[in-house]
Amino acid sequence: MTSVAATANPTATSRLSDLVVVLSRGLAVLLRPGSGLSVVLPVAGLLIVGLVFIDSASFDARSARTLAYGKKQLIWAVAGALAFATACRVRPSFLARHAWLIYGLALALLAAVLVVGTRVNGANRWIVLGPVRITPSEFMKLALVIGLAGQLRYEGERLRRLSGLVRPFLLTGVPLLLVLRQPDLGTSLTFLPALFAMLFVAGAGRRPLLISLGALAAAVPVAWFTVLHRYQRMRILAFLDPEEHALGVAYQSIQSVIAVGNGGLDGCGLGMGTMGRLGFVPARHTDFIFTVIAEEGGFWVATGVLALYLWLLLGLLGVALATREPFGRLAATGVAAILAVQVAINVGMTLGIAPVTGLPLPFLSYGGSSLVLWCGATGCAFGVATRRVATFGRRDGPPARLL
Amino acid sequence: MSHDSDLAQHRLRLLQVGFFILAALLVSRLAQLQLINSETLVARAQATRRHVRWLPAVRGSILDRRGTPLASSRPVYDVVAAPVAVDPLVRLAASLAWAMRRRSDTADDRCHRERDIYQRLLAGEQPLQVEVGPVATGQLIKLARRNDLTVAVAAPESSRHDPDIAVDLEATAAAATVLIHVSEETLSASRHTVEHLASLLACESEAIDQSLAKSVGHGHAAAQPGERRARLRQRRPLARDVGFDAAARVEEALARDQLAGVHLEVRAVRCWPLGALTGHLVGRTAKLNASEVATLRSQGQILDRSSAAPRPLPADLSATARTLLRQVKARAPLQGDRLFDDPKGRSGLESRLDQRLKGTPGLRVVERDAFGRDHGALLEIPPHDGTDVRLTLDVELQETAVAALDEACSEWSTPGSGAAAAFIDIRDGAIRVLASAPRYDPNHFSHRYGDLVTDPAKPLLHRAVGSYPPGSTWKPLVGLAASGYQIGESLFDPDATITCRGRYSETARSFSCWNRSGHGPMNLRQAIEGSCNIYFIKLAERLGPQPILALARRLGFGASPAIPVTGARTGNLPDPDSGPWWPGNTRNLGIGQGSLLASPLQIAQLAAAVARGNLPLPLRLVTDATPPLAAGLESTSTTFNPRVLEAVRRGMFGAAHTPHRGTASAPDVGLKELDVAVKTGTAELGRGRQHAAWIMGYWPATAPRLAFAVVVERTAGHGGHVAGPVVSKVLHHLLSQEGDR
Repeated sequence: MTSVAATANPTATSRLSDLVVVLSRGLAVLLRPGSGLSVVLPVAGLLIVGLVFIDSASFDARSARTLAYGKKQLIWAVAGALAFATACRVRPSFLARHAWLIYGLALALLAAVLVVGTRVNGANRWIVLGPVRITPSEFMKLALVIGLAGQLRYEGERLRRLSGLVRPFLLTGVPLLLVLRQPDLGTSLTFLPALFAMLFVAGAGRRPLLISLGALAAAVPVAWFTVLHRYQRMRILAFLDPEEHALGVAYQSIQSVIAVGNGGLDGCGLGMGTMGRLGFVPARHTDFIFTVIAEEGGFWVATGVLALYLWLLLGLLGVALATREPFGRLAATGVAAILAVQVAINVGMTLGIAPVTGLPLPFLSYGGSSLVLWCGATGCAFGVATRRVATFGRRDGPPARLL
Repeated sequence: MSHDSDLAQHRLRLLQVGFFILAALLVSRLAQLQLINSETLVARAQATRRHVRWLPAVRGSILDRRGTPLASSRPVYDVVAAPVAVDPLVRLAASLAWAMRRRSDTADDRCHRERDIYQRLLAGEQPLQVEVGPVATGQLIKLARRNDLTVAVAAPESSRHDPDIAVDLEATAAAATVLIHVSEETLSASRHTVEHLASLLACESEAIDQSLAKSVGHGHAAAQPGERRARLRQRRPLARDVGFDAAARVEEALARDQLAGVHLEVRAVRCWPLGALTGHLVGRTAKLNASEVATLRSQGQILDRSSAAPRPLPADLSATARTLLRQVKARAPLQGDRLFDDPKGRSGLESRLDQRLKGTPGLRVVERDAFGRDHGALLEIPPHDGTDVRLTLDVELQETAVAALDEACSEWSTPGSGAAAAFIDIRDGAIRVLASAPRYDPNHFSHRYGDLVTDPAKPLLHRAVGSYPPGSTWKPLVGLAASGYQIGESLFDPDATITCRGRYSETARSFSCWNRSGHGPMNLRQAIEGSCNIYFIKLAERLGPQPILALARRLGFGASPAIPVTGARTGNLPDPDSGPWWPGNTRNLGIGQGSLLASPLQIAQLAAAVARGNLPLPLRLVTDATPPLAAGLESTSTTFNPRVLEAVRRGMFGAAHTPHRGTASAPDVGLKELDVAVKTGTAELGRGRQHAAWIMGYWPATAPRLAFAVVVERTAGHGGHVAGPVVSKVLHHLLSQEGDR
C-alpha cells in the first residue's frame, strides 16, 4: 500500500526532495567560508542571547527590585546594529589608508587617560566627558589591530628576519605599557595574542617568531625584578593565589563555579538561577553573565553560546581566508584573536580556570561601549567579506550590499 | 603573492584548529562542572542558600491551684541585623583587617584589629593610616581595586556611583604605611540605616553604634576558613527588648521595604510575676553557659548545624521534607532537644520540671540571599510549646504565710536568721503553702548574686525543706511509736502516769524539764499538752530507739521529699548501729534533740499522720501528677492504737486550748478561738539561748483538713508565742477565704 501511494504521487515527492536539495545547497553557499553570514548570524544570535539573559539578570537581589538593564541593553543593541551596518559600509581601503591616524588617535587618548582620567576602583581607565564615559583601552584594541594590519601588509619579506619584527613589537609595546600603567592587566593580556596571530598570518618566519616568543618568556622574570614595582609584583602574586582572597576576588570565582554546577544539564530555567537571584554571584549582568547563562540555561545552552562564538571566530577566519587583500585578512585575524582571548579569559574566569579580571564578555555583557565596539569590529570584517572579489585588483570596491 | 597567500591560508587553518581546541577546552570544563561534578555543586549551592531557622518553643507557665501564674514567658522584640548589611564600613573594616592579618594572629588579635579599624573609620579618621606587612600591600591594592564588593553590597544608594576608595602607597623595603581614603558619600551612607533605626526606636544612634561595634569582629574564633563571609552575614542584636511600640514602628518600616538587612525577632523572656513570693519553690532559669553548650553539643542535645548525632525523623514527615532536611544537615527536633539559647531551669520547679516546661523547638528551612534576607519557607515543622504546670500551692495563703513569717522574724529573731512554714492538705497530700524567709527574687537573681551569697541570712536557703532539730514537735511521734509496744509486762498504756520532778539525772548528764518545778504525775495526753520532757525521756528509755526510728522512717524522716523541689535536706535520723550509742542518745531521741534533724515539711507530715490517724498520703506539689493510691496505702499500713492516738490528739488540742497548761493557749498566740490541735517546740540550736521556735498541728481538730508546721530560727522566745501567730494568720485567712465563697 505504501509503495502504491508513493508511486501514485511521484511529483509531490520529487518536489519535496528538490526543495531540500535547493535549500541545503543555498545554505552551503551562504555559509561557505568567507560568507558574510558566518559573521552576521552568530553576532545576531549572541545579541539576542545577551538581551534575554541580561533581562533575566536584571533582578537586583540587594534592593529586591528588577532594574532596567534589559531595556537599556536593547537600546545599546540597536546602537550596535547601527554600528555594524555603518562599519560594513566603511571601505577596508579607507581604514588601511588611515590606519596610522586611527592608531595615533587611540594612543593619544590612552596617554590622555593617565593625565585627565578618572580614578575608579584604584584604576585609571576612564575619560569622562559629561554623561559619556570613554574607555580608551577598549578602542585601543581595535586601533591596534588596524594599525598592525596597516603596517604588516607592507612588511612582506622583511618579516622573515628577526629585525622585521621590531616595528610591530614597538607598535604593540607602547600601548601595552600604557594600559599596564593604568593598571589594567586584563586588557593588556589581549594585545600580545593579537600581535602574534597577525604576525603568524602575515607570514613571519618561524625562527623569528619562536625567538621573539622565547625572548618574551625570558623577559618576564627580568621584568619581574627590574621593571615592575614591588606592589605590581605583589598584585601579580595575588592573581596567582586566589585562595588568599577568599574574602574578595576568589569569592566571586567560587560562587560562580557553584552556580554553573548548580545549572547542571538542563539549567534552572530563565530567571530561576538561585545563586544569581539571591545575590551570591556579583556583577552577574556584566562580567559574570556567562554564569547566569550556564546556571539558568544549563549545559546545552552554555555550549550553544560557546558554539556561537566558535562559529563567529571561524567566520572571521573564513573572511580572512577568502579575501585576497592583505589588510582585510590581517584585520580579520586580529579581531578574531582578540575575541578568542577575551572570551577564553572571561568564560575561563566564570568556570574557575582563569583569574578574575575585569574583562567583559563580548556581545553578552551589559554595557554599551563594549557592545558598540565589537559590533563595529565585526561589521568591518563583514565589509571585508562582501568586497573580497570586487577589491581584488582594484583599490576601491563598489558600495557594500548586504549579502 | 600566491606563495604568500598559500602560506596565509595554511596558517589561518592552523589558527582555526587552535580555536577549535580552545572551544573544546572550555566545553570540557563546562561539562566537568555541569555534568560530572554537578551533584556536589548543586549540594554546595543549596548549602549556600538554604538555612535552618529554629523556631523556639514557648516555655510552659507554672500556675498555682487557681491559675495565678508563678512563672510565665513574656514576648520581647529584638532588632537584629547582619552588621555588614547595616553599615558598609563593617565590611570595609573586615576586608582591611583581613589584608593586615599576620600568621601569628590569634582569633582575639583579628577581632581587636577589626574593631579598631571600624572604630577609626566610624570616627571619620581621614585618611586612615594603617601599617601593613609587605605582602598585605599588594592585597590592599587589590582590595581597593575590587572594592565594588564592599560598596555595592553595603550601600544601596551609592552602589550606582563608583566606589571612591583610593589607596596610596609609600612603599618601603619591609613594611608600608597605607593611607586609605573613604569617600564622604560612603561615610554618610554608612550612617543612614543606623540613624533611621535610632529615630524609629527613639534612642540615641550611639547606642546602636555600640552594639554594632560589639558585633564587629565577632565570631573569628568559630569561623572556619571558608566561612569568613558567613561570619559577616550572621545576625547580631542591634537593640534588645525594644518594646511593643518601637517594634511596631520597625515592622512598619520593614513592610515599606526600608531598613534593608534589618530584622525584627521575637523571643520569649522568662519572668516570675510573683517575684520572691515563690522564689525558692519555682526557682529560676538561665541560658546555657559555654561549657554546658559544649557538653550538650557533644551529646547531640543541642540543635544547630554542627549537631553531629543522627536522630530519627518524625514519622509524619514527607519524603521531600526528609531529603530537604538531609541537605541542610539538620535533624528534626525530638523530645530532649533544646536550642542553645533556650533558657534552662537552674533551680526549683524550673529545673526539676525542665523537660515538661521547655517543649520542643520547631524548624523552618528558608532560602537566604547573600544579604541575609529570607525568601519563603521550603519546610516548616511547628514548635511544640512546653506544657503548663499547675501546682497545688495556694498563692493567697502563701502570701499570708510569708508576711507572717517576716513579721515573726523581725519581732523575735536575731537579725540574719530565717523562718519557714509548710501547710499540707491531708486529704490528698497537696502542699498548700511552702514558704521560707528571707527570700530572693528570681527576676533579679544574676545581678544581685553577690549580695545573695554574702548575706548572713542566707536568702538562697530553702528553709521549708531545710533541717532543724525538731524539739518538742517530735513528742507526738514518740507517743505514737509506743502504741502497740510492750512496756514492762503490759502493752503501753497512754493513761499510765509518769512523774515529772523537773529533773532527771540517773546518768552523768542530767536532763531537765522546761518546767523546773516539775509537772508531777502525767499521762500521755497531759505530757503532750504541757510538753513534759521527763515523760518522753522516760518513755523513750523504756521503748528503746528502734520503734521510734522505725516509725520516723515510715513517716519520711531522714529522706528527701518526693516532690520536685531543689535544695531539700534529708534531715538526720541517728543510727544506733553505727558508732557508740549511749543512753543519753535514746533520751535525746525522746525529746527531739541531739543529732536529730527534720524539715518543717517532714514535721507537717508528722502532724498529718496524727490528724489522719494513719500514715500520711504522699506529698503532691503538681496537680496533674499521678493521684496517690490512697486506698491501697491505707489497707497496707497499720493504724495506730486508737487510745494512744486519742491521747495524742487530745493533748494537742489541749495545747492550744487548755488555759495555763497548754503551751499554745496564751491569748496572744491567737489559736484559742480556732478549732486547732497543735504541738509547740523550742529546740536548742547549738549552745546558748538560741532556739528554733516550732509549732505543728492540724486543723480543724474535729475533722482535720490541713496539717502544718512552722519554724522560726534563732529566737529567744517560746515556740508557741513565736510560731503560733503564723498559723493563726494563715488559718484566719483561709477561714475568710471560705467565708467569701
